[in-house]
Formats: sequence, structure tokens, C-alpha cells
Amino acid sequence: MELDTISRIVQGDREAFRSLYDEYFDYAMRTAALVAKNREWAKDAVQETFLRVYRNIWQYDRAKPFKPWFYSILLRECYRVMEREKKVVPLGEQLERVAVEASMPDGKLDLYDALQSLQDMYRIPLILKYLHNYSEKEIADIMELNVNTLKSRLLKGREQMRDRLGGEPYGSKA
Amino acid sequence: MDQKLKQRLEEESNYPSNLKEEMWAKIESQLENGSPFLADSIEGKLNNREQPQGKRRKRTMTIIKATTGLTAAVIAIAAFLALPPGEAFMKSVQNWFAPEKKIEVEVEGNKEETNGQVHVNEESRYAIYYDKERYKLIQQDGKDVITTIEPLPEPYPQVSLTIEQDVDALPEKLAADIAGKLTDQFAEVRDIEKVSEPVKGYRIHAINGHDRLSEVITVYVTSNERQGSFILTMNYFLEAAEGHGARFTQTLEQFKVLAEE
Repeated sequence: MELDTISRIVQGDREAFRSLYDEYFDYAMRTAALVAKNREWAKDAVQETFLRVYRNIWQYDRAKPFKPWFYSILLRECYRVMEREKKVVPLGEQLERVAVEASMPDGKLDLYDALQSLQDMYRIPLILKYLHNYSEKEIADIMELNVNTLKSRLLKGREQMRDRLGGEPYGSKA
Repeated sequence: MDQKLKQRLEEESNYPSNLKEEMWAKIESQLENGSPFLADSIEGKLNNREQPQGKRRKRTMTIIKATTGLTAAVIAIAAFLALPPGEAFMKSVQNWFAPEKKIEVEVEGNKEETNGQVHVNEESRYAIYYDKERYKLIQQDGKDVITTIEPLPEPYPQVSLTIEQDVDALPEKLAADIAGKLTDQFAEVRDIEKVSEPVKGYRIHAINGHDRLSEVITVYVTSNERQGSFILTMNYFLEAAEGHGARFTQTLEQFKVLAEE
């Protein structure tokens, strides 16, 4: 994201904001859909993310890269929507989910299911890594984690995926 | 395998082709006119906006936690909403800002973090964060002046950043007037420049000689978002250009006009 575009958005330039939207919408929508595991929740999160980015862009520190700032807002919005919606999921549906999740650790899952069955702390870094090809440093910045912590989570996430896929090693070590 | 997972993630995250424009329409309908800076500050007005996916929720009180660096400012929006718009704007304005925040500045090629202190001038309707460890803000002849906490010793000229408002003159005309006046006082007055940083407006730069203590003045003229202008005047000396001059310029990046909606 060019600084000139940021400056223009701060001044209220809609065209500049639209260019930011064009640049970030696709990955934002894909990321939110995978993180929230629900298309409608993802739409809520993405919509609120862009509004927050617009309204808070004057607080963005231009000395730092824009992408982690944007994605940290997106992830916060995903968590917020997920929390909000979890509170209103009917009890029957909650029980159904628990039952589905409890039956997961077998070797018959495909890669996607195996990934999505992980806890968020392992699942989300892996989504960012494999969907976006982000570096560990970038993911650590986005998630506001120490790089070593992030590396450890990626490793554990892969190990758990391997177990759920029937024991076969999964993924490159990088 | 990595590629296969990437492919699966892309498949699972596909969305209808019309979604992007559909969502843009919703987002755009919720954007406020003018600078988003103000819109963020009055986020409580979200109460009046459509919530995503039509989930409009009635909130009797919205508490906004605006975290900027060290400090969080907590706003009681209910009080804001209970007042008439103009009055609410002014009464609540102080609360929109964290009292302090960390500001990163670059001086002579080195980055450093300073403690910024907010100053909100409700009458002139602007806000600014300034480095409270080096400078103080005083009011002089109806102007706000940011200057060193302790006066600089002789023979150094005093340095300052002065903020004043002309409610009747538009920036372009005012910049020309100021440049004209400086011609009488300074040996060298540069051409007026149109700038977008540290503020959007015009820059007039003048120096009085080429000695290390020669006076330098840099004036920025920016719109007050109504029919007038803010005049932001940096006074320093040649040797202090990379020090106080750079700090003042970066302080101006924190200058925000509070234009009422």
C-alpha cells in the first residue's frame, strides 16, 4: 500500500479507499471465510474491517508495513464476529458441532478438514501461511506473536494435521 | 502437498463474483463525508448506521476504547448522543483522544520514540500531539505556541511551532499573503509549494542568511475544513533544521482538524 494512497484516504478520498478495497478485498474475504468457517460471519467481519480501516487509518503508523496492520484488524473482527455468533448459536447446533468435532481424529479427513479441525492457535497461522504464502515474520507481525512462538505453533499444527491424516508427515518445514 | 492445501483453501474460500461490489455498496453507504479521522472519533454514531447483515442492534450505551500507544481513551457515547449535535461535539471532543501516545520520530537519520501529549483546542477545533519531554504548549496572543520547555541559551534563537487560525481566508490566498509579508522580513523566500504532508495545503519557506544561527521560518497553511485556514508556523535556525525543524514537521503530522459533520 503506497503512502500516498494512505494520505489520500486520511483526507477522505473515496477513490483512494476504493483502490485499497480492490487490493485487499479478495484475500480479506478468503481469509475471513476460512478463519470464521462461515460465509455470513466472514462477510460481517470483512465489512467491519474495511470500515474500521477507513476510520482508523489516521492512526496507522506509516513507518511500519501496512499489511500486518490490516490483517490484524481483520483477524480481530473475525474473532469478534465468531464470539458474538457463538453466543447466539442455538444449543442444539452447539451440541451438534461438539459431536462432529469429537468424531474428527481419524485418518479419513482431507487436508482442508484436517486443518480446520485444529485449534485456532494452530489453524489460523497455517491458513495465513498456505493461503497467502506469508513469511513467518509476516504472520508473526499480523498475529502479534514472537516469531519463535509462531514457528512452534506452525510445527505443532503440522504435527496435529499429520496425526489426523493418519500419521503421514505433512507440509514443508519452512 | 503444500500446493494441494493451498488449492483446497482457495476452493473452500471461493465466493460469488458479485459479492465484492455488493459489499462495497454496503461499506460505502456507511462512510462519512470528509476525513475519516473525525469519523473514527465519533464511532458512537455507529448507532445510527446500518449494522452488517442488517443486524441492527439498539445500544443504549457504547463504550469505545481507542488505544493509541500507551493509553486508552474511554468514551461514554450515551452522554454524547444525549446532547444537541454541536454541543455534544465540543463537550466530547477531549475524550476522543488518548491523553498520551507514543510517537515515533526520525531525527538526523535515527528513529526514536517520544511521549506525545495531546492538546485539543476546542475553540479553534483542532488537536495535536506534541513531544512533552522536550516541549511545552503555551497560549500567547490567542495562538497556541509549542516551544522548548526551557528557553534555549544565548546565542541560539528561540524555536517554536505556532498554531493559529484565520477563519475568513482560504489557504491559497492566505499562503500568497504570508509569502508576500515574509519577503520584507527574510532575505530568501522560496516559491509557495503545494504539499500533502505533513498537512495538506501550502508550504512557504524562508531563511535569513546562511549562518548556522540564521533564522528559518516554514509556514504551512491548511484548510480549517470550513471557510478558513490554519496557519502552522515553524520558527527555528539553520543548524536546528534537522533537529527542532524535523521534530516540528513530525509534530504537524499529528495535527488534526476537528471538522464538525
